[in-house]
Amino acid sequence: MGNSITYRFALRRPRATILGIALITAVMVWQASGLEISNSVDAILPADHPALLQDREIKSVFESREMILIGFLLDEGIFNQATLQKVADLSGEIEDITLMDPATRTRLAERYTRLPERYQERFLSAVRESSRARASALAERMWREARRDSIGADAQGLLEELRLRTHPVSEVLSLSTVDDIVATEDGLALRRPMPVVPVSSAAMSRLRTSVYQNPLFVNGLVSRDGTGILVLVEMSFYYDDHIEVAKDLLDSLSAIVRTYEGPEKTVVAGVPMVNVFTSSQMNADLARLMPLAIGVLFLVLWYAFRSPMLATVPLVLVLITLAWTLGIMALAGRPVTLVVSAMPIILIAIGVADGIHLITEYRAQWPLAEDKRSALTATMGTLAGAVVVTSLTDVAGFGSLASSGLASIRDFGVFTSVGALVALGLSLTLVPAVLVLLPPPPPLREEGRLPRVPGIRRHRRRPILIAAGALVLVAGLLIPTLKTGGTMVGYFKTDSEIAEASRLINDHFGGTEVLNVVVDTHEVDGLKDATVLRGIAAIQDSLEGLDVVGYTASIADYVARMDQVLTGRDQILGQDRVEDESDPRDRARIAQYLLLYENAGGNDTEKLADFDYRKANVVVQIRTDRTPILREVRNVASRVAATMLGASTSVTYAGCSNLCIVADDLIIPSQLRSLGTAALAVFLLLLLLFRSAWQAAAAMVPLVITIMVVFALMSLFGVHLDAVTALIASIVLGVGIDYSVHFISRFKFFLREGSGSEAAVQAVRTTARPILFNSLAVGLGFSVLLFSSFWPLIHIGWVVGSTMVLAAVLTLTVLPALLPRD
Amino acid sequence: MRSTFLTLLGLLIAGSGQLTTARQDARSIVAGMVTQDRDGDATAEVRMEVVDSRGRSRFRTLTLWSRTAQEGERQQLIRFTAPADIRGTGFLSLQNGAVREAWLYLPALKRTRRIAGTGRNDRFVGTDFSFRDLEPERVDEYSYALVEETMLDSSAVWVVDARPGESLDDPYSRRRLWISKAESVLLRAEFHDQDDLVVKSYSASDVRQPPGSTKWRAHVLKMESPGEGTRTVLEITSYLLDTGLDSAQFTKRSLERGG
Repeated sequence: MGNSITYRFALRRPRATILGIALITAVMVWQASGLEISNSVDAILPADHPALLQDREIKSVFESREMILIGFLLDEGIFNQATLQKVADLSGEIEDITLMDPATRTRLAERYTRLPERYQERFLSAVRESSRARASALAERMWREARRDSIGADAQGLLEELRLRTHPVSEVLSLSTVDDIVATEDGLALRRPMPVVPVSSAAMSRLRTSVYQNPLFVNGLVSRDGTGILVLVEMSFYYDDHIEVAKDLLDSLSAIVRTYEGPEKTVVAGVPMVNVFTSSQMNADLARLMPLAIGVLFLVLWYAFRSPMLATVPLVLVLITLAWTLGIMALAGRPVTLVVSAMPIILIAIGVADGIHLITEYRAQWPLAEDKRSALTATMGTLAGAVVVTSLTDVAGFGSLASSGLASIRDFGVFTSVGALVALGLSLTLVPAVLVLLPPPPPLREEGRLPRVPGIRRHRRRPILIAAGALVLVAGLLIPTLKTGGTMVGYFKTDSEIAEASRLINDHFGGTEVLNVVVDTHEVDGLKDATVLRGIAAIQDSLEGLDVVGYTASIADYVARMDQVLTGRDQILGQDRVEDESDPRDRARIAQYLLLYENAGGNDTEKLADFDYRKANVVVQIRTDRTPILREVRNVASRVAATMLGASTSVTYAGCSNLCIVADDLIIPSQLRSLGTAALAVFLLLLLLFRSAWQAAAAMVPLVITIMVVFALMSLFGVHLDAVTALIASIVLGVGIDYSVHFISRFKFFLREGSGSEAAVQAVRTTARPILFNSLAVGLGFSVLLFSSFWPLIHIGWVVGSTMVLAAVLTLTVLPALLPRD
Repeated sequence: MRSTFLTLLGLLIAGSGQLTTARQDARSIVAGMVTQDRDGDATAEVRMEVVDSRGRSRFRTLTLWSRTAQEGERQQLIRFTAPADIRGTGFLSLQNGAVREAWLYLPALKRTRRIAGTGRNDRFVGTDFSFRDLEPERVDEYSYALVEETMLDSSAVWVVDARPGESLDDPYSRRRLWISKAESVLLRAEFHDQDDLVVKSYSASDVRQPPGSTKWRAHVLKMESPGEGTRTVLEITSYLLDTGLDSAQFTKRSLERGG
């Protein structure tokens, strides 16, 4: 047996074994320090998912990127000189923001040798340049030039970083920066609504009137009730492409915004903000939860082993397992996502279980053996097989998630399996090597009594099966009401900074979530057709009729606005239209309005229509990020589009909201598939181990019931099934099946000596304590997740924590009742 | 060799305190170009291509009538001829010193509207050219310095730097001009911003004399904005000079007539 070679070597050469493991660990820790944390929806979907590719393409056509929303809120109203001055000042300050602190300059300057020689000098002077505009222009030029020269990814990346850091913000939208189309006495002008901050009350009220006359501003830049005003910041790059630069930008923005606080309340929200906040909270979470989990387990193990030194052995194993697993993740280039952040706690639970079994057995063997090495050889001989099998069931349980359609769940499955294998390897090498060097263990006494679980001493088959049947029935009734649907902001506790900021922005303005409805006419200048614009306007009208939609904007709004300003009426799209039939002159009118707008220097429509007016981008702002609601919004848009737009026009969707919906749609089928695969893999493993289809099937029953109860509990307590909570069933299967393995192994052992019912009672008698103890340890390990900042992890904590104990109880009651009596 | 010699000579002259000579030279070079460039009026059929930063083109054709009454007073009338949905759309611009007035005629509305707040530095009908770029040089408002004499493609050129005077609202801190010696035509120009970086670059080609004229005109004008990645090409398919347009042809009524 391979595993006997490993532990025999470890026992013979313990120091070499430990040294070897320590060296690998050092390398892995070094690797793991390069791990990337990513939290956007993009990281949840696989990189080649069609929806993601399409999203990228649409974003690039309209050059639209994630927006950061900065709000000033004042109950007395924001139309006062001081607040508006802040809006103007902040807009200017942000337009000129740069992310070149001295440390960054030094870091970039040190890397100049990565560039071809002809760039080096210019690069250094751009890095040292103190004028932002000049540094940015130099960087932009070098970057364009280098892209033509194809200088290699590394060098190009360096130039790109400089380019972004000197120009991280592509556009600031506020009353002092956007264009308004306004009527003058005898014509039309494109001018900023607030070129200077009004001083007199007459000027203030003129500004107020003109702002509220343009529907594009209401809820887009100012709140309907006048108590809030927005500054929108568009990053000059995609969040996911440059997460570090994005973080620096958001830190810098938050710091600037803080200086404008009071008496107005300032808030910063938007998808990039949520992503960054999630990352920082995840780090804080890990920093808090890991020591807590380890501390809790140390106490449990100390109590169990009666020796603090022995208690540290499984913990060291767990820590090394974590280091290796994270190191392998970094080597594979996969990011840590919120889903993956649950992994350490699970690895702790898995790794500790092996340690518990080994050390308990060692303590039992020690009084019988002549020295530590022979005691350990006997221990490993007895348990190595069981450790291997339980690890393999973990791999089957978690590995099945590798078939998931969601990248982060796939990563979670793959790397938790890797972790289980690492833990297995360490259990067979590090644990015996360390134990043989440590002083001998305190011997195992007859500790404690059997817990009084009904059915353990005497077995009543019928009532147990009836009770189990009732449990299945109740769970089966609850499961259909299980709700699905993720959220990002909703993951945070309501008193967290980002949750509050998002809520305030959503209360006052159009909404933080964006859905892009892309209308493609498939012909050049197709958007100049009035019926298409009317269809777009109809989609907007229906969407704005929904409570959750706070704002929409499209090219149709601009055409309507020009129509209004130039003719004083709303002839093309609105109520002033004479008849239902399309006026043949409408097309020329629309074309001429758009020409006029371009010629007047307007460029706000670039994000709403593509260059040759084939495609329109309807921007829809939504006040929640709950996916079921987002899906409803999308459905409304589809329904209206189907009736209002011709067959030659197609509608697609993009934006964060759409990606959330797509990710969500993948969860249930992929979750069912993964569970099915896992169950099948575990069943085959058990079949191989027990060589009895009946026993293997019976071993599955407690787990099937537990998983049904898991879904029933989630349904009962309103826990939504999403990318993170979808893991619970797999965790329960992977970890819980170990109990059945232990039980049936014992049952078969006793079956050699007596009848089935006798063997079942004996098996319950001998395994009840370790199984319950194990489930309690795992339950406690998971319960530290209750202290997480994220709702889904809290849910995993209590659901897994409580159902592991249920799985243990079911294993000790229902499983014996299913096994043959004779 | 020749240019090296001239540079050396220039340095010698500068060294002997006679810098003004070189500056006057530069100025007379530009003045020569302006004289050559000046016309009473011009009528041009223009094919316009605007290319965005992603390399996509938009084509339009237009007729451009222009007339210079006296220095600083310039009249322009533009009428689009294609694509069909904007045919007849007209744009009238009257520049008088620093004051510009602009009107737009939309045939679909059969109405003329004044466009407020347009300046010389605004984009010319959505292109990379500004109105200022298409005006004749105003020699009095700039100081000029001869940089070198060299060859550009196969033409001998003077290279001259133009810097705006103090009070000017010119957005460029410096323009470098390449002026052909043979025809006194501007062949190339680079527009530098306050940080002395090139923000726009102009190049002209297909220099020939329009029918019936002794003046030289470039027939393909290209303007690139490297920072934005956009460019505009104006191709003049028909060029008529000094046909005797008068100011009556640059009125709101004439703007509306062509629709």
